[in-house]
Amino acid sequence: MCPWFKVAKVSEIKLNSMREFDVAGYKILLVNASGELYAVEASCPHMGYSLKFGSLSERVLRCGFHYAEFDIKDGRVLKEPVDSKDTRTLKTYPLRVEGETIMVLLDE
Amino acid sequence: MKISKFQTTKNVGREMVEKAGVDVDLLITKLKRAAAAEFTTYYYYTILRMHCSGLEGEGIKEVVEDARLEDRLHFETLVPRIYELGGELYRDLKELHDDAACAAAYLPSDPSDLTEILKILLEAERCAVRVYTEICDMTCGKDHRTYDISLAILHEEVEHEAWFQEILEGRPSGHFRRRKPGEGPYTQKFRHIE
Repeated sequence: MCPWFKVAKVSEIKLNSMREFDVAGYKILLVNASGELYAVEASCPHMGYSLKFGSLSERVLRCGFHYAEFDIKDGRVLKEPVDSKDTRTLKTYPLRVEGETIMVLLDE
Repeated sequence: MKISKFQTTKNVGREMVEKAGVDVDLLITKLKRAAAAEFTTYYYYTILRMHCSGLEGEGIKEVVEDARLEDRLHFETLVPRIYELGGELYRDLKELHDDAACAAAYLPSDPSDLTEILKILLEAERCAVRVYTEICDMTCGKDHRTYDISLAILHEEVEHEAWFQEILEGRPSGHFRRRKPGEGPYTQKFRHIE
């Protein structure tokens, strides 16, 4: 089975915004940060809350619940959540664009 | 004296929710964390309210009080639903604090800074809006009772956010005072306490 999945059209992810998608049982957050597209898991590794409710500033994704911050390029923690020393990284997924279609590699 | 054990049967209320496709254990976790956030917010707002004093602070105090009392009522509103679904409250208060859906609304380092207090209040309400939006998204069309409760709380949290934003940013204000402190107009129908 091909692990690359069609997730969305490029035009669906507006500049400097993010959108959550359900793909094959995975919740994926597609992010358009300054024109670059990224795919990350849609739940915060800290307590599992939806990152779609968070905020985006360039490549920094901030969770709207306990305010952990992640670099969406590699998922590393830039700022720990305010209530703990949780340094679990955000899972990122390889992404490629074919024409207008965004493809994400879910399992290698 | 020992309490006799009753034969237990399946709970249709929970079964219907499961059959609709909701991960009920995950939902219970989210409801518990939401309840924990309401309980801790009630506590921290008590402290924040105390520091709303002086010529400017006294005008804010009653708004904080309305939000504080309604947050406690939200806790009371959520608890029966947690048990109906088969969950239970944290047995250790420390665990409740650390598992709350939102960050603790601590008093700012300069407790006399009313603007900082308002920012903390506003951020706490915004987190609550996210919490109930997520639960509504999860239960809409699937768990009618949890959805109804969460939507009622969401209405009140959105109003709390508006109150603090109006004070902090001077936005045009559409809100009027509650009829009485801690009225909770949207969640009233779920409560059996005053």
